[in-house]
Amino acid sequence: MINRGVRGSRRQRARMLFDRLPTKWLVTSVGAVLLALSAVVGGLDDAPVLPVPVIQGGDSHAGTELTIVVNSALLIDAFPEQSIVPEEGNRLLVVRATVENTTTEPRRLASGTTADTDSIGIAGIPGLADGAPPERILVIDDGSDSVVVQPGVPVELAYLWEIADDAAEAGDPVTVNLMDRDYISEGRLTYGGLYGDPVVGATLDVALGDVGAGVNQ
Amino acid sequence: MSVAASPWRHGANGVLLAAILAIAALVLHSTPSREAQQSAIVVPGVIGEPVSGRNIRTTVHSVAAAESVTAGNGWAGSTPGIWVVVDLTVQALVDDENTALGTAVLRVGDVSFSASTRPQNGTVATEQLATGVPLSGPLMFEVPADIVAGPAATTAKLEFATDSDPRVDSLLVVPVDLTALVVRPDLEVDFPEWGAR
Repeated sequence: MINRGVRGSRRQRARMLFDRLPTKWLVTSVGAVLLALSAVVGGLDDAPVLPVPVIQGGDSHAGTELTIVVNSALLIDAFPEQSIVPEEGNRLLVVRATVENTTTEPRRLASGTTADTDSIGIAGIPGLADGAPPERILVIDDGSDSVVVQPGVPVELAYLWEIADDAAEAGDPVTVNLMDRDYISEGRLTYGGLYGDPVVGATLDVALGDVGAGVNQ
Repeated sequence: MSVAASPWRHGANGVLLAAILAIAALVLHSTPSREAQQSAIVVPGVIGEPVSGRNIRTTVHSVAAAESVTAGNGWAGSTPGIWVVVDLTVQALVDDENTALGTAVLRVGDVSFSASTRPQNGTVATEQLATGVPLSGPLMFEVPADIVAGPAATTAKLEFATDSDPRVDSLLVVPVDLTALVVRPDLEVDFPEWGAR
């Protein structure tokens, strides 16, 4: 009986002490605990930015949807057979790459401003925004555009950018960005799979070749 | 009085709550899912017979496989895989405004292939349909060479619809056994033409 009373009064005293504790102290101590916990994962330092992997020419980059091998990059005057003739004073920069769709459905590749699957951008060419998407994509085999890559069937593509005549010459390096994006989910309001913003999955430097007026190879 | 009534009231409340939960569960589990509400209306067909949906009628005349195909426009694209070539007649039934063969899919198991647009006007994949006027010609599907012998190849399906998103509209589904096809070294197909076969 007496013991219970003492225990009760102790509990009451503890309760009273807690009630008298200033709210500021509580907030501060909770903050301190959170800060201490954050130290476990690196504290207040900036999160390290993982460098984009650099691969060698001929290496394949396996992304979420596409596996890409860059074969070469070259300069050419025009593709008159496909009616692709740049403006006066411009030439075409062509990146040849073999692309394989590793998903289970066809993927239309983005060129220009379309919002389809990004695959390749380039950087390091004066007058062209870094990471600029290609203006055209052609199937090298038959010159058809509006490229749809079928699952499991690799296809060699030509990615085209129009650049100024003096912006690059044979031997110059061009940085090729291989794009990737993550599958997020099937949306609640949207239909079909949703993919996140494209990111550069890997990058490589390729020395530009020059085929002059163009030889069909 | 109130003391005597309270057990009854508690009991009644419990029963009412259970009834509400049961009704909610019934509604939750009997409401059609989004797939059921929006899925395409499948119209099954067979090779050689016309099959009709709301705004599309198709007859698959034949299916062939070849390592290389020459289209009626002279196109002869090569592929590391093989071409599955479908000869078909297709027409719109009620409306041909912006009506093309939006869905022309070969589905093998979980994997789907769209009719190639590489032959450009040598295939009916990109042609506009006309109401009541059949269009006959080939569709070329570019597929990996090993898929025609794979386990799912016996139950492959051709799917046709007028929109690229075939939900809540007719989807014509024609089964095709790819393992029965002999892969020819080359195949010549006709240019698409108006009229039935």
